[in-house]
Amino acid sequence: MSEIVSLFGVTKIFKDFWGKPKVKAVDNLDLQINEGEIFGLLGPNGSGKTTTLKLILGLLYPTRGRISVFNRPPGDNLIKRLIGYLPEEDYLYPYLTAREIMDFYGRIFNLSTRVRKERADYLLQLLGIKGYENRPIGEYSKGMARRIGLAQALINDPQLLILDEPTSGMDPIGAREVKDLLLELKKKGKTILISSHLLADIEDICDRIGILYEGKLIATGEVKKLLSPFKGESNRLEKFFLQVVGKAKEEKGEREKKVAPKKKEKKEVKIIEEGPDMELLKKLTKK
Amino acid sequence: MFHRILAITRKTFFYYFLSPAYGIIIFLLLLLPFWCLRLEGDGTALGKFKIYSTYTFLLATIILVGTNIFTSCTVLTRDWRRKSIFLLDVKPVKRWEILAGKWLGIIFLNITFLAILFFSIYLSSKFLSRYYLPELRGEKNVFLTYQKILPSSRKSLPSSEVHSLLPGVEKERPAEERKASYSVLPGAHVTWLFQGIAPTETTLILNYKFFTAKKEETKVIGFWIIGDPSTKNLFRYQSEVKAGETHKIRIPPWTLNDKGELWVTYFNIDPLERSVVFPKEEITLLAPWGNYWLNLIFGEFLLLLIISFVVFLGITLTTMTSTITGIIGTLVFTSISFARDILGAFVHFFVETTGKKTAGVSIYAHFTNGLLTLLKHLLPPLGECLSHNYVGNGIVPPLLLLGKLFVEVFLLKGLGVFLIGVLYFTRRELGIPNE
Repeated sequence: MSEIVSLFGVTKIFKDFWGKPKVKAVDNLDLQINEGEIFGLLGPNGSGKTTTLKLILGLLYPTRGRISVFNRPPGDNLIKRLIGYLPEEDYLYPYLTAREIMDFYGRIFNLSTRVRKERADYLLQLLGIKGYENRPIGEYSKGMARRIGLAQALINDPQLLILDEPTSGMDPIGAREVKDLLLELKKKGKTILISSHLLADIEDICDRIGILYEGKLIATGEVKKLLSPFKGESNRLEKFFLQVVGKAKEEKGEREKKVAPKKKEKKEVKIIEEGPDMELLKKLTKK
Repeated sequence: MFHRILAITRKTFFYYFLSPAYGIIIFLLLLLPFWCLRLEGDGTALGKFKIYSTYTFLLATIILVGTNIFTSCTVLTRDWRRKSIFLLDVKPVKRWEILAGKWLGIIFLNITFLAILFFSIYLSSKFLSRYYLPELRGEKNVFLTYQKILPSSRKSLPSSEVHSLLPGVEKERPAEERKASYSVLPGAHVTWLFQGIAPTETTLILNYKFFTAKKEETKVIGFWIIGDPSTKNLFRYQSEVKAGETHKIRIPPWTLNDKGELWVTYFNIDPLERSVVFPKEEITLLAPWGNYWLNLIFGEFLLLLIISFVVFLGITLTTMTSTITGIIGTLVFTSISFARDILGAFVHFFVETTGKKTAGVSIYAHFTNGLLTLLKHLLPPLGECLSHNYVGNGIVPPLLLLGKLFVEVFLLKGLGVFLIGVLYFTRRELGIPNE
């Protein structure tokens, strides 16, 4: 299986107005996503999942490292034709209706009027929006807006589907339908990259997962292998996730502890500096 | 490439066009020419047209520039704030195509605004021409405006010339002269000379009204010879009309001589031998003054040039900064660009015309000229594009000037500014909010 997405030593540091480093969102990340698989990107809030997706999409540029998508740099127009993206929030135009959204993105992909209409009809039907398609997006519930977001991501029949929290805000039936749809797409050979907090969804559909913590990839591998120690238990991925993240937190705590004494040493030095002997030393050096 | 740009253009256009705020702009543009009809001119039709068109275009410029500063500064940042630009940027669209699509969307919106303004001007002009020039009722081209010309002098032709021109008139009597009117005895003739007529390809109109001694119902027969007698370009016309009513004769333009003069001779050939009297104010020539339609087209073209630059500037500034900074920046640069001409005129008047060489003036002149030179290189001459310069006086601006302004405002300065924005925008990260 060929690699569709590859990240080698990717680091992303956000800088402030003056160019000083503010946050290290992604830290030396190595990640490969293979053709035809569903890859789940997990991690607690602020772990760098969305930043990683934006780096893959070319919306952000890496500070260090190399990214390739379909063996080309991200942001290349040739590969954008092969990608469908569902962002974490509703980034759709609130004043357009579902049908207008589908028509607009269809035009961007230069689909003919007939194909645009056919695909829009099919996807709106598939995602349960048919009958509501002439209402402005701003009037939809979050779950419905997510469905339209997913429909627009599929308008170009993409080879690589990047989904940020695809089932968030959806009712259980809607979430199940989306998961079934993703499995169906996988069968058709599509590659899917999902970022989600909903571990049960990931466990259900993903072939491989990667867990990010503070921008670092702390665990990656096939779901079956990673969860094998928890065989027969319920909520296996949740247990694995908590174990891995808990361990990373502990390591972080230890690192911080190691750093903390240094501060104390500094304080001790200060005390010495403020002592009478130092005053004498300063006077002597001045002379 | 074009389908992507057009998709963005289409979306941008309809978003603004269907929004209620822009409905108000459309309403204002529809109302504006009718409001300008209320303005008083110098009492002549020409003056009325001048002041009407000048104010219509000036106010339309203010409305449209203001609207476009706001539109161009929000068209990109609104998408960015809403993060819908992320979704667009991951589609196979180049960044410059996003900007070009948005620019085109606003320009099409403005073309629609200008078409609405044109329609409104058309209707109001039709009303104006009826109101001020009732004699032009039925005129197909309401945009063709006329100026009234009174005869500059009245002359009698030598009888030999008259006989050669008018076979059949055997006796000739000297014309009676009165101060307030032109009297023509039976068998006599009178000649008027109209001067200062611009060469034209359009029909001239002679309006006249005469009276007879008695109020009679029968028609009076007269014969007109129009054209310079020294040439052979003469237009002959026999009239059989009632006295006391205004009549008009359509005169072919070839009757004008090279000096822009028109000779009009009336022969009283009434078989009932009645004398006719033409009151002085009642014989006028309506000479085409200008093609108002063409003036409007060019005026709107110049307005579109101003708008294009404003939109280029607004979009460019907001690729780099926020909406508020963009609005302030665009407003400042546009104002300076307009003020440049006013500053230039100011300097010219105080320094070159008055020739005052006081220290203050010298410093001011030195400073202002330096500033002007800098501004000249940075900003386009938007003041020169103010259409009232051309629309008002009825002269279509020379094509050379239109070309020069197009190159300077659109190609050199507008596109130049836009390219900076495009270069910056294609290199910046879009994954983070800009404000």
